[in-house]
Amino acid sequence: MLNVKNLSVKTRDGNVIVNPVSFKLIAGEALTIVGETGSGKTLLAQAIVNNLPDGLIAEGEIYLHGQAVHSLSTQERNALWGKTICVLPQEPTRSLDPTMHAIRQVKEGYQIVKGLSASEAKKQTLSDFEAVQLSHATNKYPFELSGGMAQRVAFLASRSGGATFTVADEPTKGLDANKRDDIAKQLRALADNNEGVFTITHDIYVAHQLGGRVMIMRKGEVIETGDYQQVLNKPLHVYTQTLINADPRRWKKKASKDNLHSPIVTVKNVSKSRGDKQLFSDLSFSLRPGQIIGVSGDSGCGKSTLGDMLLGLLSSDSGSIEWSNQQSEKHKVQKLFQDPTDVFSAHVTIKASFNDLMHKYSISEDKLLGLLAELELDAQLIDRYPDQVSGGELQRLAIARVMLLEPTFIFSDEPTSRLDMLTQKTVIEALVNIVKYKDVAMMVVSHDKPLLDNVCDELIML
Amino acid sequence: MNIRVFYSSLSFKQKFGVVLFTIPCLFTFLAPILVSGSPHDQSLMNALQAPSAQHWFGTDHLGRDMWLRLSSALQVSLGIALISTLIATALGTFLGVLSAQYPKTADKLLNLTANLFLAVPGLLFILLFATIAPGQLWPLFLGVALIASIEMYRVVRAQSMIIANKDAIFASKLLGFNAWYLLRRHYFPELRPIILRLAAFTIATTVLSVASLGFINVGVKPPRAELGLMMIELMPYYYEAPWVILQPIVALFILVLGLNLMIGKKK
Amino acid sequence: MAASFLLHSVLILKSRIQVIMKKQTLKTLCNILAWRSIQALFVALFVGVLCFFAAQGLGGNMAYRIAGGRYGIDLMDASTADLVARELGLDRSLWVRLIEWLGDSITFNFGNSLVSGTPVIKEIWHTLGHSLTLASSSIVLSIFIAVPLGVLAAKAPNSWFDKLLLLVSVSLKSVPNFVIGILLVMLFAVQLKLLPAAGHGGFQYLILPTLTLALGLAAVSVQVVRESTLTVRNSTYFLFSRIKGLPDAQSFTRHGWRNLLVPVVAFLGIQFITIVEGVVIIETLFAWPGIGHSLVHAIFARDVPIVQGAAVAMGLIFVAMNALVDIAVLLLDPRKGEHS
Repeated sequence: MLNVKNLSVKTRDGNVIVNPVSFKLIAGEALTIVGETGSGKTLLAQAIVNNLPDGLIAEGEIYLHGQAVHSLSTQERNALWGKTICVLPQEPTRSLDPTMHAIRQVKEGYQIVKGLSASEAKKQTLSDFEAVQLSHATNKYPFELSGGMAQRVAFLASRSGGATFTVADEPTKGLDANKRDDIAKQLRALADNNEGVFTITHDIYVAHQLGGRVMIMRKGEVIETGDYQQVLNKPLHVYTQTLINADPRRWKKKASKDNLHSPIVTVKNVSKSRGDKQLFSDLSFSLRPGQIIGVSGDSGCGKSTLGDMLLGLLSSDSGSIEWSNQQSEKHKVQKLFQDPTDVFSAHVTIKASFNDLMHKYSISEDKLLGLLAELELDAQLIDRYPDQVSGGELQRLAIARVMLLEPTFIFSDEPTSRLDMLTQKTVIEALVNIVKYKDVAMMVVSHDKPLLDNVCDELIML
Repeated sequence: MNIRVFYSSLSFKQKFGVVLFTIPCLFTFLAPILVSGSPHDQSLMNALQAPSAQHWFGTDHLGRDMWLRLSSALQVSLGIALISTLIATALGTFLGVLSAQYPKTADKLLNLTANLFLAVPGLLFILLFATIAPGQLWPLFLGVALIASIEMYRVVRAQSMIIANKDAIFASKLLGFNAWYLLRRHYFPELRPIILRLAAFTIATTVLSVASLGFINVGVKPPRAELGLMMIELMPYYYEAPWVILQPIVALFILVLGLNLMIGKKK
Repeated sequence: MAASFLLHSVLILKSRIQVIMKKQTLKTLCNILAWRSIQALFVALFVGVLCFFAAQGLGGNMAYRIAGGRYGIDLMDASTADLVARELGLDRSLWVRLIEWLGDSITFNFGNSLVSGTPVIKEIWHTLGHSLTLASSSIVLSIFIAVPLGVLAAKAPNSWFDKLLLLVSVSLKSVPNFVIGILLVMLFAVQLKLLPAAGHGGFQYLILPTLTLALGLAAVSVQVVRESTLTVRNSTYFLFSRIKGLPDAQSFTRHGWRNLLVPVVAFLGIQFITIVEGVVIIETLFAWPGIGHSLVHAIFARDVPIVQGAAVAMGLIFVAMNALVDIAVLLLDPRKGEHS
């Protein structure tokens, strides 16, 4: 179905971003490209689809259903969209027109792209909606649909043109486990239906679920390629092995010692609701120094709210939260945020932000240097501005800043959701090490259950 | 903040705008120094003369020196504009940030008041004040400063509310920093470009409003020199002496165009 | 382009009527009407207070002039003025008079003009029609200028057309609207002798004032249209429509127009300020017998009742127009009904 020969992506000046790569995809097969940010995997997909960003051009040969696509004009290539190439949207909710009914957005695909008559298109759309249990949602606007419903509508809309070659770029980004599995099943079903599925992802687990063949990419190069069972279980290349080990499922569980400290906070029968929704009720647990407790659940179930309650920012509807003797020093409870770029002031160097803190509490510079060393951070990083530092490093700098105050409790709200797998492993290891060493109690929120299973002593499910 | 760094971060259009704006400003303050005399000295014999050695910009219909009249008019426009903008910036920023910090108390009152005042277009304000005290300058001043303050308040408030919800604010609060730190490290650096742009916009709008009011003879009375007033006085003579009426028009145009270019585009 | 636009407007209207019936939207509608009513009340009171103090400034002067208006200047003297003063209750305390004045203001009891003696309401009514003609034709013309130009500019951003349009907009924004008027008069009335310079009568008198106001309005709104169109063109949903397989033209018809118009319609509310202010100035320039013209004259004649009547009328219309814009936005964007 797809035959790619020496496809590369370059800037207009000639800088090679993705080195020449060749591969084939046959009907009924799933090909998954796995790599971290900056590996060039998205650019490869964009080169095939023909929507590279301005300033980048593709070179090489691309054959789709035997037709030499690379020699067509831009207009002719764009005409393939929908009819020959189906591109699944990365952000389904944002991909739907906010002021148009759901049914029309699918119907217009059948009518205009596939060329059916208006009544035929309507019939087909209605049966599609019924097949995915969305018959009640035909006349709803996107903002009235849940995330999952929007994803199904966007899926139907992109398939309405009748293409049999599907490109999916990071289809499971930011989704929790259940939704991720649904999407993977959806894509697998396409392949089983004798269509071609070309997926880009950084999530090894998704590659497992899709089966077929896998291609590992790093910094614009293809590192390894082959059948998924071979590559993902017995890889030939060191990098692939590192990538696989970065999956929380593969992390070695550390032996846990008995925690002999007395609890620093006891939560008794606490409930909270937001609006009409009851988030949780009758929740009880206690936290000891050095203990890591995990909170997992789907989005919107109240994980962040629970943490904010422990931080003293919100109060519970009923029940009590009792702290043992730390009440007066408010800054001993700290939080790690999901997006580390938003945590330091963007207008001054990181050093300035640190100095503000050290000056205020009379903390010596040695302490900071010690922490940076423990977190394996180069001391010169702090001379930069926040936007000049990578996400993983920034999150570790945030950890350092928080640790300067010797907190008794840290609430980590999805601290690594925005990070690549490899970076995630580094950050979590650093965080857990430092927390255990300094006997800090920590609550970790994540939608990644295997990660929590590995890292936490106890788990709360909301 | 480093002026040189700031200047080099401006686009070509913006730099051009700065230059354009500076020309009338310099003229306003240097002109009376370079030429002696008063903008009110009439000499009917010398009416509507073309630019010459004695009168570098010529004379108007009453023989008054245009060089001096123009600079005097620009002093009025710029004076009112700069002072009102200064007041509006100080007041608007203070109240705007205050509103964002206390959304449940101060904001309710301030926002309601601001929105009520929005029910009346600014010019009507000034005209109503002018009815109370016709011929005086303070209604102009008060009206202009009031409108500018409300606008600045609304913009600062909107942006401050966005800033107030940022993680950086929560993080700093948890670390124990007080309100003054938050203002210094988070609010003001973030607000500064927006305030500067709005200030430039306010100066431009004020200058145009003052000219419009002068045009309908409100707030400024002859023989005071004011750009709009001069335009309407000189309109009957545009055929015989086009260079005279063009002067206030061109001066106003360069001044405001410079400001508009300085504002630049939203990123 | 125009035919599909109209067809879509009708279809949108049909589905939006359904939206209105939803409870949440009705609630938002009530909120809009309630808030605008409060604003209207504020206008009447605020104008009233200021005019009250303006009237106090006139003091005995006012009684004198009312008497003059009533009996004729030649037939009256100081004692007649005193009689009138007492009759009007001008000797009572300040607070009582203020409350009474404000009561009159809210009930639109403006009295008679100090200059002509005719009832204020009658004079305002007469001139209001002319102003509305000017205002509405200006807005319509400005839309016809701004929307096509803005949409075209956004189709090819940073092209020579886009840059030229920007240059023209910025230049027009850098002069007061009466300068545009003066220049248009100089060109069309004096040089080309095609149109009259001022006055009122047939259709030709409307052209220059409308064009003047419309150019000033369009200079600003064309950029708003351009920005809005660019946002839509670069939005995830527009790109998705293209990738679905819809060609650019059809993507724009189906997903572009409706979405780009929402901020543009909302912006109209802000433009009403320019219109109200512009009407005052432009009517003076072109001697157009509208409410703005009356207002300016009344300020000079210190005819406080007319000033009050005109200001309240203009203020109320302004609030009403804003209310209409709020409702229009509610109709266009179904999301607004959910979060007010």
